[in-house]
Amino acid sequence: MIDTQNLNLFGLDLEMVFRRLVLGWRQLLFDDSSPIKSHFHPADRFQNLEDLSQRINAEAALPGDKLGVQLLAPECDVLEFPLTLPASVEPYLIEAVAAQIAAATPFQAEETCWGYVISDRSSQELTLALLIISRTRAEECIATARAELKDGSASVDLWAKTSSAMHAPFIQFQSNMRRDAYLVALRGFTIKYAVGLIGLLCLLCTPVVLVMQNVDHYQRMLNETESRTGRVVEIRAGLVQTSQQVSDAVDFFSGQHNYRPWLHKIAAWTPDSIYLNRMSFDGGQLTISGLAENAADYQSALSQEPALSNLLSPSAFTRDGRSGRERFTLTMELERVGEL
Amino acid sequence: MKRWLMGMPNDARLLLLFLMSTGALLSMALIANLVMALFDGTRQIDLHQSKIERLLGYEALAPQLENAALEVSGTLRQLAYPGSEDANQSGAKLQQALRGFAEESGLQVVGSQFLVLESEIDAEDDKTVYFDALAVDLSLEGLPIALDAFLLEVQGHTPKLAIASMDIQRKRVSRRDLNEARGDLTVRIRVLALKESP
Repeated sequence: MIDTQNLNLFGLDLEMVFRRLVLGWRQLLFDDSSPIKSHFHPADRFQNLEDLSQRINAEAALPGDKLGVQLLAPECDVLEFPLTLPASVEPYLIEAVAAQIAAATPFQAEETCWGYVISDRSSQELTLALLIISRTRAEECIATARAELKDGSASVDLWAKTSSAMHAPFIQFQSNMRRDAYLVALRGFTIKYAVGLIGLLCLLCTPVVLVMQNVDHYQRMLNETESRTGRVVEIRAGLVQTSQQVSDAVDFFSGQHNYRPWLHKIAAWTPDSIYLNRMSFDGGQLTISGLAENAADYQSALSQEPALSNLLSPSAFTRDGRSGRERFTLTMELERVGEL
Repeated sequence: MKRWLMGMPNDARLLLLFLMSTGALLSMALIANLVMALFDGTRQIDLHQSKIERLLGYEALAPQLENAALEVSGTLRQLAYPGSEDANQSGAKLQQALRGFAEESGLQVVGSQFLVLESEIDAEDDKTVYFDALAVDLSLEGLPIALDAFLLEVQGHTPKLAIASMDIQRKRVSRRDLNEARGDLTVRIRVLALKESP
Protein backbone atom coordinates (compact mmCIF):
# COMPACT_ATOMS: atom_id res chain seq x y z
CA MET A 1 0.00 0.00 0.00
CA ILE A 2 1.39 3.35 -0.99
CA ASP A 3 1.41 5.92 1.74
CA THR A 4 -0.12 9.03 0.20
CA GLN A 5 -0.23 11.12 3.33
CA ASN A 6 2.91 13.06 2.47
CA LEU A 7 2.47 13.36 -1.30
CA ASN A 8 2.95 16.99 -2.28
CA LEU A 9 4.48 19.08 -5.04
CA PHE A 10 5.86 22.52 -4.10
CA GLY A 11 3.51 22.50 -1.10
CA LEU A 12 0.52 21.36 -3.19
CA ASP A 13 -1.22 18.30 -1.66
CA LEU A 14 -1.24 15.53 -4.22
CA GLU A 15 -3.11 12.95 -2.17
CA MET A 16 -6.45 13.72 -3.79
CA VAL A 17 -4.90 13.66 -7.27
CA PHE A 18 -3.38 10.28 -6.53
CA ARG A 19 -6.65 8.90 -5.13
CA ARG A 20 -8.60 10.14 -8.16
CA LEU A 21 -6.02 8.55 -10.43
CA VAL A 22 -6.42 5.23 -8.61
CA LEU A 23 -10.21 5.61 -8.69
CA GLY A 24 -10.16 6.34 -12.42
CA TRP A 25 -8.02 3.26 -13.00
CA ARG A 26 -10.39 1.07 -10.94
CA GLN A 27 -13.43 2.47 -12.72
CA LEU A 28 -11.80 1.92 -16.09
CA LEU A 29 -11.02 -1.73 -15.36
CA PHE A 30 -13.57 -2.91 -12.76
CA ASP A 31 -16.67 -0.71 -12.90
CA ASP A 32 -19.75 -2.44 -14.28
CA SER A 33 -20.22 0.36 -16.81
CA SER A 34 -16.69 -0.09 -18.19
CA PRO A 35 -16.69 -1.39 -21.77
CA ILE A 36 -13.30 -3.01 -21.09
CA LYS A 37 -14.76 -5.09 -18.28
CA SER A 38 -17.85 -6.00 -20.26
CA HIS A 39 -15.62 -7.21 -23.11
CA PHE A 40 -12.96 -9.14 -21.23
CA HIS A 41 -14.49 -10.18 -17.89
CA PRO A 42 -15.87 -13.74 -17.68
CA ALA A 43 -19.68 -13.69 -17.78
CA ASP A 44 -21.38 -13.75 -14.36
CA ARG A 45 -23.46 -16.87 -13.66
CA PHE A 46 -25.34 -16.32 -10.42
CA GLN A 47 -27.05 -19.33 -8.87
CA ASN A 48 -29.07 -19.81 -5.77
CA LEU A 49 -29.05 -23.00 -3.73
CA GLU A 50 -32.11 -24.48 -5.51
CA ASP A 51 -30.59 -23.98 -8.98
CA LEU A 52 -27.43 -25.65 -7.74
CA SER A 53 -29.17 -28.82 -6.56
CA GLN A 54 -31.15 -29.02 -9.84
CA ARG A 55 -27.93 -28.75 -11.87
CA ILE A 56 -26.21 -31.40 -9.76
CA ASN A 57 -29.17 -33.71 -10.20
CA ALA A 58 -29.01 -33.16 -13.96
CA GLU A 59 -25.21 -33.68 -13.83
CA ALA A 60 -24.78 -30.85 -16.30
CA ALA A 61 -21.63 -28.89 -15.86
CA LEU A 62 -21.94 -25.26 -16.90
CA PRO A 63 -19.22 -23.31 -18.69
CA GLY A 64 -17.27 -21.18 -16.23
CA ASP A 65 -17.63 -23.65 -13.37
CA LYS A 66 -13.90 -24.00 -13.13
CA LEU A 67 -13.89 -20.34 -12.02
CA GLY A 68 -16.01 -21.26 -9.03
CA VAL A 69 -19.66 -20.78 -8.22
CA GLN A 70 -21.31 -17.36 -7.81
CA LEU A 71 -23.81 -18.22 -5.13
CA LEU A 72 -26.70 -15.86 -4.34
CA ALA A 73 -27.51 -15.67 -0.64
CA PRO A 74 -31.20 -16.19 0.23
CA GLU A 75 -32.97 -12.81 0.22
CA CYS A 76 -34.49 -13.51 3.64
CA ASP A 77 -31.01 -13.66 5.22
CA VAL A 78 -29.79 -10.39 3.70
CA LEU A 79 -30.38 -7.00 5.21
CA GLU A 80 -30.43 -4.23 2.56
CA PHE A 81 -30.60 -0.47 2.95
CA PRO A 82 -29.83 2.42 0.61
CA LEU A 83 -27.17 5.07 1.10
CA THR A 84 -26.69 8.36 -0.74
CA LEU A 85 -23.29 10.06 -0.66
CA PRO A 86 -21.77 13.11 -2.38
CA ALA A 87 -19.88 12.15 -5.53
CA SER A 88 -16.67 13.65 -4.11
CA VAL A 89 -16.58 10.86 -1.49
CA GLU A 90 -16.01 8.17 -4.12
CA PRO A 91 -12.20 8.04 -3.68
CA TYR A 92 -12.87 7.13 -0.02
CA LEU A 93 -15.89 4.94 -0.75
CA ILE A 94 -14.71 1.76 1.00
CA GLU A 95 -13.94 3.68 4.17
CA ALA A 96 -17.28 5.51 4.03
CA VAL A 97 -19.26 2.31 3.41
CA ALA A 98 -17.39 0.46 6.19
CA ALA A 99 -18.19 3.24 8.64
CA GLN A 100 -21.85 3.20 7.60
CA ILE A 101 -22.02 -0.59 7.95
CA ALA A 102 -20.41 -0.44 11.40
CA ALA A 103 -23.07 2.05 12.47
CA ALA A 104 -26.03 0.20 10.94
CA THR A 105 -25.26 -3.50 11.50
CA PRO A 106 -27.42 -5.42 13.99
CA PHE A 107 -24.61 -8.00 14.41
CA GLN A 108 -21.35 -7.93 16.30
CA ALA A 109 -18.49 -6.51 14.27
CA GLU A 110 -16.78 -9.90 13.75
CA GLU A 111 -20.16 -11.45 12.82
CA THR A 112 -20.92 -8.82 10.17
CA CYS A 113 -20.29 -9.56 6.53
CA TRP A 114 -21.17 -6.90 4.02
CA GLY A 115 -21.20 -5.85 0.42
CA TYR A 116 -22.36 -2.91 -1.67
CA VAL A 117 -23.21 -1.91 -5.18
CA ILE A 118 -23.46 1.54 -6.78
CA SER A 119 -27.01 1.62 -8.05
CA ASP A 120 -26.87 5.12 -9.50
CA ARG A 121 -24.13 7.63 -10.20
CA SER A 122 -24.60 11.28 -11.13
CA SER A 123 -22.18 14.20 -11.15
CA GLN A 124 -23.47 15.30 -7.74
CA GLU A 125 -24.12 12.12 -5.77
CA LEU A 126 -23.81 8.39 -5.53
CA THR A 127 -26.64 6.06 -4.62
CA LEU A 128 -25.59 2.76 -3.11
CA ALA A 129 -27.29 -0.35 -1.91
CA LEU A 130 -25.62 -1.71 1.23
CA LEU A 131 -26.06 -5.41 2.10
CA ILE A 132 -25.38 -7.14 5.40
CA ILE A 133 -25.45 -10.83 6.26
CA SER A 134 -24.37 -12.63 9.40
CA ARG A 135 -21.13 -14.54 9.05
CA THR A 136 -22.74 -17.72 10.48
CA ARG A 137 -25.50 -17.68 7.89
CA ALA A 138 -23.11 -16.93 5.08
CA GLU A 139 -20.82 -19.81 6.02
CA GLU A 140 -23.83 -22.13 6.25
CA CYS A 141 -24.86 -21.18 2.71
CA ILE A 142 -21.36 -21.84 1.41
CA ALA A 143 -21.16 -25.17 3.30
CA THR A 144 -24.52 -26.21 1.84
CA ALA A 145 -23.35 -25.30 -1.65
CA ARG A 146 -20.15 -27.30 -1.23
CA ALA A 147 -22.21 -30.25 0.03
CA GLU A 148 -24.44 -30.00 -3.01
CA LEU A 149 -21.35 -29.87 -5.23
CA LYS A 150 -19.83 -32.80 -3.33
CA ASP A 151 -16.58 -30.88 -3.19
CA GLY A 152 -15.45 -29.61 0.19
CA SER A 153 -12.81 -27.32 -1.30
CA ALA A 154 -14.90 -25.91 -4.19
CA SER A 155 -14.55 -22.16 -4.74
CA VAL A 156 -17.80 -20.43 -3.84
CA ASP A 157 -18.23 -16.65 -4.04
CA LEU A 158 -21.17 -15.24 -2.09
CA TRP A 159 -23.32 -12.53 -3.72
CA ALA A 160 -26.70 -11.00 -3.04
CA LYS A 161 -29.39 -9.65 -5.30
CA THR A 162 -30.63 -6.18 -4.43
CA SER A 163 -34.19 -4.89 -4.63
CA SER A 164 -33.22 -3.07 -7.84
CA ALA A 165 -32.16 -6.43 -9.38
CA MET A 166 -28.45 -5.65 -9.20
CA HIS A 167 -25.83 -8.04 -7.82
CA ALA A 168 -23.47 -7.14 -5.00
CA PRO A 169 -20.53 -9.28 -3.77
CA PHE A 170 -19.92 -9.85 -0.07
CA ILE A 171 -16.34 -8.73 0.13
CA GLN A 172 -15.38 -11.25 2.82
CA PHE A 173 -16.38 -14.18 0.56
CA GLN A 174 -14.71 -13.50 -2.79
CA SER A 175 -12.05 -15.86 -4.14
CA ASN A 176 -10.63 -13.54 -6.88
CA MET A 177 -10.59 -16.40 -9.44
CA ARG A 178 -12.86 -14.53 -11.87
CA ARG A 179 -10.92 -11.33 -11.34
CA ASP A 180 -7.65 -13.18 -12.05
CA ALA A 181 -9.13 -14.70 -15.21
CA TYR A 182 -10.20 -11.21 -16.30
CA LEU A 183 -6.70 -9.80 -15.69
CA VAL A 184 -5.14 -12.71 -17.60
CA ALA A 185 -7.43 -12.00 -20.57
CA LEU A 186 -6.61 -8.31 -20.35
CA ARG A 187 -2.88 -9.03 -20.17
CA GLY A 188 -3.13 -11.32 -23.19
CA PHE A 189 -4.88 -8.61 -25.19
CA THR A 190 -2.32 -5.99 -24.07
CA ILE A 191 0.58 -8.21 -25.12
CA LYS A 192 -1.02 -8.86 -28.52
CA TYR A 193 -1.65 -5.14 -28.95
CA ALA A 194 1.91 -4.28 -27.93
CA VAL A 195 3.35 -6.86 -30.32
CA GLY A 196 1.19 -5.41 -33.10
CA LEU A 197 2.43 -1.90 -32.28
CA ILE A 198 6.04 -3.05 -32.25
CA GLY A 199 5.48 -4.70 -35.64
CA LEU A 200 4.00 -1.48 -37.00
CA LEU A 201 6.89 0.48 -35.56
CA CYS A 202 9.37 -1.86 -37.25
CA LEU A 203 7.51 -1.40 -40.50
CA LEU A 204 7.66 2.39 -40.13
CA CYS A 205 11.34 2.27 -39.22
CA THR A 206 12.34 0.13 -42.20
CA PRO A 207 12.66 2.99 -44.75
CA VAL A 208 14.57 5.08 -42.21
CA VAL A 209 16.98 2.23 -41.54
CA LEU A 210 17.49 1.73 -45.28
CA VAL A 211 18.14 5.44 -45.79
CA MET A 212 20.60 5.48 -42.88
CA GLN A 213 22.46 2.52 -44.38
CA ASN A 214 22.62 4.45 -47.64
CA VAL A 215 23.95 7.51 -45.81
CA ASP A 216 26.64 5.36 -44.25
CA HIS A 217 27.53 3.91 -47.63
CA TYR A 218 27.84 7.37 -49.20
CA GLN A 219 29.83 8.63 -46.21
CA ARG A 220 32.36 5.86 -46.71
CA MET A 221 32.49 6.61 -50.44
CA LEU A 222 33.02 10.29 -49.68
CA ASN A 223 35.84 9.57 -47.23
CA GLU A 224 37.52 7.36 -49.78
CA THR A 225 37.17 9.96 -52.54
CA GLU A 226 38.39 12.73 -50.25
CA SER A 227 41.52 10.80 -49.32
CA ARG A 228 42.20 10.05 -53.01
CA THR A 229 41.62 13.58 -54.26
CA GLY A 230 43.25 15.42 -51.36
CA ARG A 231 46.14 16.75 -53.47
CA VAL A 232 43.91 17.99 -56.29
CA VAL A 233 41.62 19.72 -53.81
CA GLU A 234 44.66 21.38 -52.29
CA ILE A 235 45.81 22.55 -55.73
CA ARG A 236 42.35 23.91 -56.48
CA ALA A 237 42.15 25.73 -53.14
CA GLY A 238 45.58 27.23 -53.85
CA LEU A 239 44.39 28.28 -57.31
CA VAL A 240 41.30 29.98 -55.86
CA GLN A 241 43.37 31.82 -53.28
CA THR A 242 46.04 32.86 -55.77
CA SER A 243 43.35 34.08 -58.19
CA GLN A 244 41.88 36.16 -55.39
CA GLN A 245 45.33 37.54 -54.61
CA VAL A 246 45.90 38.43 -58.25
CA SER A 247 42.50 40.11 -58.36
CA ASP A 248 43.29 42.12 -55.20
CA ALA A 249 46.71 43.11 -56.50
CA VAL A 250 45.25 44.21 -59.85
CA ASP A 251 42.63 46.23 -57.96
CA PHE A 252 45.36 47.85 -55.89
CA PHE A 253 47.50 48.84 -58.87
CA SER A 254 44.53 49.99 -60.90
CA GLY A 255 43.81 52.45 -58.07
CA GLN A 256 47.29 54.01 -58.48
CA HIS A 257 48.23 56.67 -61.05
CA ASN A 258 51.09 56.42 -63.47
CA TYR A 259 52.62 59.90 -63.14
CA ARG A 260 55.09 59.73 -66.02
CA PRO A 261 52.57 60.46 -68.84
CA TRP A 262 51.05 63.18 -66.65
CA LEU A 263 54.44 64.90 -66.41
CA HIS A 264 54.63 64.93 -70.20
CA LYS A 265 51.10 66.26 -70.53
CA ILE A 266 51.59 69.03 -67.98
CA ALA A 267 54.77 70.05 -69.81
CA ALA A 268 52.85 70.10 -73.10
CA TRP A 269 49.97 72.16 -71.66
CA THR A 270 52.30 74.70 -70.05
CA PRO A 271 53.50 77.58 -72.29
CA ASP A 272 57.18 78.49 -72.29
CA SER A 273 56.39 81.78 -70.57
CA ILE A 274 55.40 79.97 -67.38
CA TYR A 275 57.97 78.86 -64.83
CA LEU A 276 56.92 75.98 -62.60
CA ASN A 277 58.61 75.96 -59.22
CA ARG A 278 56.89 72.98 -57.74
CA MET A 279 54.75 70.09 -58.87
CA SER A 280 53.30 67.71 -56.30
CA PHE A 281 51.36 64.53 -57.07
CA ASP A 282 49.53 62.86 -54.23
CA GLY A 283 47.17 60.08 -55.21
CA GLY A 284 44.88 61.58 -57.83
CA GLN A 285 45.60 65.18 -56.86
CA LEU A 286 48.12 67.50 -58.46
CA THR A 287 49.33 70.78 -57.01
CA ILE A 288 51.47 73.06 -59.13
CA SER A 289 52.97 76.42 -58.27
CA GLY A 290 55.12 78.83 -60.20
CA LEU A 291 55.32 82.22 -61.95
CA ALA A 292 53.28 83.36 -64.95
CA GLU A 293 52.78 86.61 -66.83
CA ASN A 294 49.07 85.99 -66.53
CA ALA A 295 48.20 83.17 -64.14
CA ALA A 296 44.47 83.47 -64.86
CA ASP A 297 45.11 82.70 -68.53
CA TYR A 298 47.07 79.65 -67.52
CA GLN A 299 44.29 78.51 -65.17
CA SER A 300 41.78 79.05 -67.93
CA ALA A 301 43.88 77.03 -70.39
CA LEU A 302 44.20 74.13 -67.93
CA SER A 303 40.50 74.19 -67.15
CA GLN A 304 39.82 73.43 -70.81
CA GLU A 305 41.60 70.09 -70.52
CA PRO A 306 39.12 67.21 -70.06
CA ALA A 307 41.74 65.14 -68.25
CA LEU A 308 41.73 67.62 -65.36
CA SER A 309 38.91 68.48 -62.99
CA ASN A 310 38.23 70.53 -59.88
CA LEU A 311 40.82 73.06 -60.90
CA LEU A 312 41.15 75.47 -57.99
CA SER A 313 43.39 78.19 -56.84
CA PRO A 314 43.75 77.87 -53.08
CA SER A 315 45.42 81.31 -52.76
CA ALA A 316 45.23 84.60 -54.64
CA PHE A 317 47.60 85.29 -57.51
CA THR A 318 50.17 87.86 -56.36
CA ARG A 319 52.65 89.76 -58.46
CA ASP A 320 56.26 89.06 -57.65
CA GLY A 321 58.09 92.38 -57.35
CA ARG A 322 61.44 91.05 -58.47
CA SER A 323 60.40 89.08 -61.58
CA GLY A 324 57.31 91.14 -62.37
CA ARG A 325 55.27 87.94 -62.85
CA GLU A 326 52.26 86.56 -61.00
CA ARG A 327 52.93 83.93 -58.39
CA PHE A 328 50.27 81.21 -58.49
CA THR A 329 49.32 77.87 -56.92
CA LEU A 330 46.76 75.61 -58.59
CA THR A 331 45.26 72.31 -57.44
CA MET A 332 43.43 69.85 -59.67
CA GLU A 333 42.17 66.27 -59.83
CA LEU A 334 43.67 63.89 -62.38
CA GLU A 335 41.00 62.06 -64.39
CA ARG A 336 41.76 58.57 -65.60
CA VAL A 337 41.55 58.98 -69.37
CA GLY A 338 43.26 55.66 -70.05
CA GLU A 339 46.16 57.23 -68.10
CA LEU A 340 46.55 59.39 -71.24
CA MET B 1 -17.41 6.34 -29.53
CA LYS B 2 -18.75 9.49 -27.91
CA ARG B 3 -21.64 7.62 -26.26
CA TRP B 4 -19.26 4.89 -25.15
CA LEU B 5 -16.97 7.52 -23.62
CA MET B 6 -19.77 9.54 -22.04
CA GLY B 7 -21.25 6.40 -20.45
CA MET B 8 -18.11 5.89 -18.37
CA PRO B 9 -17.65 7.33 -14.86
CA ASN B 10 -16.05 10.75 -14.77
CA ASP B 11 -12.65 9.78 -13.37
CA ALA B 12 -12.32 6.82 -15.72
CA ARG B 13 -13.21 9.05 -18.67
CA LEU B 14 -10.61 11.66 -17.68
CA LEU B 15 -7.93 9.02 -17.19
CA LEU B 16 -8.77 7.40 -20.51
CA LEU B 17 -8.67 10.76 -22.30
CA PHE B 18 -5.32 11.53 -20.68
CA LEU B 19 -3.91 8.14 -21.70
CA MET B 20 -5.26 8.48 -25.24
CA SER B 21 -3.87 12.02 -25.60
CA THR B 22 -0.48 10.95 -24.28
CA GLY B 23 -0.45 7.99 -26.66
CA ALA B 24 -1.45 10.21 -29.58
CA LEU B 25 1.23 12.76 -28.73
CA LEU B 26 3.91 10.09 -28.40
CA SER B 27 2.84 8.54 -31.69
CA MET B 28 2.94 11.90 -33.45
CA ALA B 29 6.35 12.67 -31.96
CA LEU B 30 7.62 9.27 -33.07
CA ILE B 31 6.25 9.68 -36.58
CA ALA B 32 7.60 13.22 -36.81
CA ASN B 33 11.03 11.97 -35.74
CA LEU B 34 10.95 9.19 -38.29
CA VAL B 35 9.95 11.59 -41.05
CA MET B 36 12.65 14.05 -39.99
CA ALA B 37 15.25 11.27 -39.97
CA LEU B 38 14.08 10.21 -43.42
CA PHE B 39 14.36 13.74 -44.83
CA ASP B 40 17.66 14.37 -43.09
CA GLY B 41 19.10 11.12 -44.42
CA THR B 42 17.90 11.90 -47.95
CA ARG B 43 19.40 15.39 -47.75
CA GLN B 44 22.71 13.97 -46.53
CA ILE B 45 22.75 11.49 -49.39
CA ASP B 46 22.18 14.35 -51.86
CA LEU B 47 24.97 16.40 -50.27
CA HIS B 48 27.39 13.48 -50.29
CA GLN B 49 26.50 12.61 -53.87
CA SER B 50 27.09 16.15 -55.11
CA LYS B 51 30.34 16.42 -53.15
CA ILE B 52 31.60 13.11 -54.51
CA GLU B 53 30.72 14.21 -58.06
CA ARG B 54 32.52 17.51 -57.55
CA LEU B 55 35.63 15.75 -56.23
CA LEU B 56 35.59 13.33 -59.16
CA GLY B 57 35.35 16.36 -61.44
CA TYR B 58 38.44 17.86 -59.82
CA GLU B 59 40.22 14.55 -60.18
CA ALA B 60 39.41 14.41 -63.89
CA LEU B 61 40.66 17.97 -64.37
CA ALA B 62 43.80 17.60 -62.25
CA PRO B 63 46.31 18.36 -65.08
CA GLN B 64 44.38 21.48 -66.14
CA LEU B 65 44.12 22.66 -62.54
CA GLU B 66 47.86 22.21 -62.05
CA ASN B 67 48.62 24.21 -65.21
CA ALA B 68 46.21 26.96 -64.22
CA ALA B 69 47.71 27.11 -60.71
CA LEU B 70 51.21 27.50 -62.20
CA GLU B 71 50.01 30.19 -64.59
CA VAL B 72 48.23 32.20 -61.89
CA SER B 73 51.24 31.87 -59.58
CA GLY B 74 53.38 33.29 -62.37
CA THR B 75 50.99 36.22 -62.74
CA LEU B 76 51.12 36.81 -59.01
CA ARG B 77 54.96 36.83 -59.08
CA GLN B 78 54.70 39.73 -61.54
CA LEU B 79 52.54 41.68 -59.13
CA ALA B 80 53.97 41.00 -55.67
CA TYR B 81 57.00 39.84 -53.78
CA PRO B 82 56.61 36.26 -52.50
CA GLY B 83 55.36 35.69 -48.97
CA SER B 84 58.18 33.27 -48.28
CA GLU B 85 60.60 36.20 -48.05
CA ASP B 86 60.93 38.37 -45.00
CA ALA B 87 59.41 41.84 -45.48
CA ASN B 88 62.67 43.54 -44.58
CA GLN B 89 64.54 41.38 -47.05
CA SER B 90 62.08 42.25 -49.84
CA GLY B 91 62.16 45.92 -48.85
CA ALA B 92 65.95 46.00 -48.94
CA LYS B 93 65.89 44.37 -52.34
CA LEU B 94 63.37 46.96 -53.59
CA GLN B 95 65.34 49.84 -52.14
CA GLN B 96 68.50 48.57 -53.78
CA ALA B 97 66.74 48.20 -57.14
CA LEU B 98 65.29 51.74 -56.97
CA ARG B 99 68.64 53.27 -56.06
CA GLY B 100 70.13 51.36 -58.96
CA PHE B 101 67.47 52.74 -61.33
CA ALA B 102 68.07 56.25 -60.08
CA GLU B 103 71.80 56.04 -60.61
CA GLU B 104 71.46 54.43 -64.03
CA SER B 105 69.06 57.20 -65.02
CA GLY B 106 71.44 59.91 -63.93
CA LEU B 107 69.73 60.96 -60.72
CA GLN B 108 71.65 61.50 -57.56
CA VAL B 109 70.20 59.68 -54.54
CA VAL B 110 70.19 62.09 -51.61
CA GLY B 111 68.30 59.85 -49.22
CA SER B 112 66.11 56.76 -49.03
CA GLN B 113 64.03 54.96 -46.45
CA PHE B 114 62.14 51.68 -46.46
CA LEU B 115 58.81 51.23 -44.64
CA VAL B 116 56.23 48.46 -44.29
CA LEU B 117 52.75 49.97 -44.60
CA GLU B 118 50.28 47.28 -43.58
CA SER B 119 47.39 49.72 -43.54
CA GLU B 120 47.98 50.67 -47.17
CA ILE B 121 45.88 47.69 -48.25
CA ASP B 122 42.46 48.48 -46.85
CA ALA B 123 40.52 45.29 -46.44
CA GLU B 124 36.77 45.18 -46.46
CA ASP B 125 35.14 44.15 -43.19
CA ASP B 126 35.60 40.40 -43.33
CA LYS B 127 37.86 40.04 -46.34
CA THR B 128 41.17 38.26 -45.93
CA VAL B 129 44.18 40.57 -46.28
CA TYR B 130 46.62 38.85 -48.59
CA PHE B 131 49.31 41.56 -48.89
CA ASP B 132 51.58 43.91 -47.01
CA ALA B 133 52.58 47.11 -48.77
CA LEU B 134 56.30 47.90 -48.96
CA ALA B 135 57.12 51.58 -49.35
CA VAL B 136 60.42 53.23 -50.24
CA ASP B 137 60.77 56.99 -49.85
CA LEU B 138 63.48 58.42 -52.08
CA SER B 139 65.02 61.88 -52.25
CA LEU B 140 66.60 62.43 -55.62
CA GLU B 141 68.28 65.23 -57.51
CA GLY B 142 68.81 65.53 -61.20
CA LEU B 143 67.56 66.69 -64.56
CA PRO B 144 63.97 66.19 -65.74
CA ILE B 145 65.11 63.80 -68.46
CA ALA B 146 66.79 61.63 -65.82
CA LEU B 147 63.58 61.64 -63.79
CA ASP B 148 61.67 60.52 -66.88
CA ALA B 149 64.13 57.68 -67.41
CA PHE B 150 63.82 56.69 -63.75
CA LEU B 151 60.04 56.62 -63.95
CA LEU B 152 60.28 54.46 -67.07
CA GLU B 153 62.49 51.99 -65.22
CA VAL B 154 60.06 51.90 -62.29
CA GLN B 155 57.21 51.28 -64.69
CA GLY B 156 59.00 48.24 -66.14
CA HIS B 157 60.00 46.65 -62.84
CA THR B 158 58.87 43.21 -61.89
CA PRO B 159 57.10 42.79 -59.49
CA LYS B 160 54.99 45.76 -60.41
CA LEU B 161 55.55 49.06 -58.58
CA ALA B 162 53.30 52.04 -58.05
CA ILE B 163 54.18 55.63 -57.22
CA ALA B 164 52.00 56.82 -54.37
CA SER B 165 53.24 60.40 -54.31
CA MET B 166 55.82 62.57 -56.05
CA ASP B 167 56.93 66.05 -55.13
CA ILE B 168 59.11 67.87 -57.66
CA GLN B 169 60.78 71.17 -56.86
CA ARG B 170 63.27 73.30 -58.63
CA LYS B 171 66.55 72.82 -56.83
CA ARG B 172 67.64 75.81 -54.72
CA VAL B 173 71.13 76.85 -55.76
CA SER B 174 73.57 79.46 -54.63
CA ARG B 175 74.59 82.23 -57.00
CA ARG B 176 78.01 80.58 -57.36
CA ASP B 177 76.50 77.30 -58.68
CA LEU B 178 73.82 79.00 -60.77
CA ASN B 179 75.25 78.08 -64.15
CA GLU B 180 76.20 74.50 -63.23
CA ALA B 181 72.85 73.52 -61.70
CA ARG B 182 70.49 75.13 -64.19
CA GLY B 183 67.36 72.94 -64.59
CA ASP B 184 68.16 70.54 -61.73
CA LEU B 185 65.20 69.19 -59.73
CA THR B 186 64.76 67.94 -56.23
CA VAL B 187 62.34 65.00 -56.20
CA ARG B 188 60.74 63.29 -53.24
CA ILE B 189 59.01 60.16 -54.31
CA ARG B 190 57.23 57.31 -52.57
CA VAL B 191 57.26 53.99 -54.40
CA LEU B 192 54.94 51.16 -53.34
CA ALA B 193 55.23 47.41 -53.89
CA LEU B 194 53.11 44.52 -52.67
CA LYS B 195 54.34 41.53 -50.75
CA GLU B 196 52.24 38.48 -49.99
CA SER B 197 51.38 38.16 -46.32
CA PRO B 198 53.25 35.27 -44.77
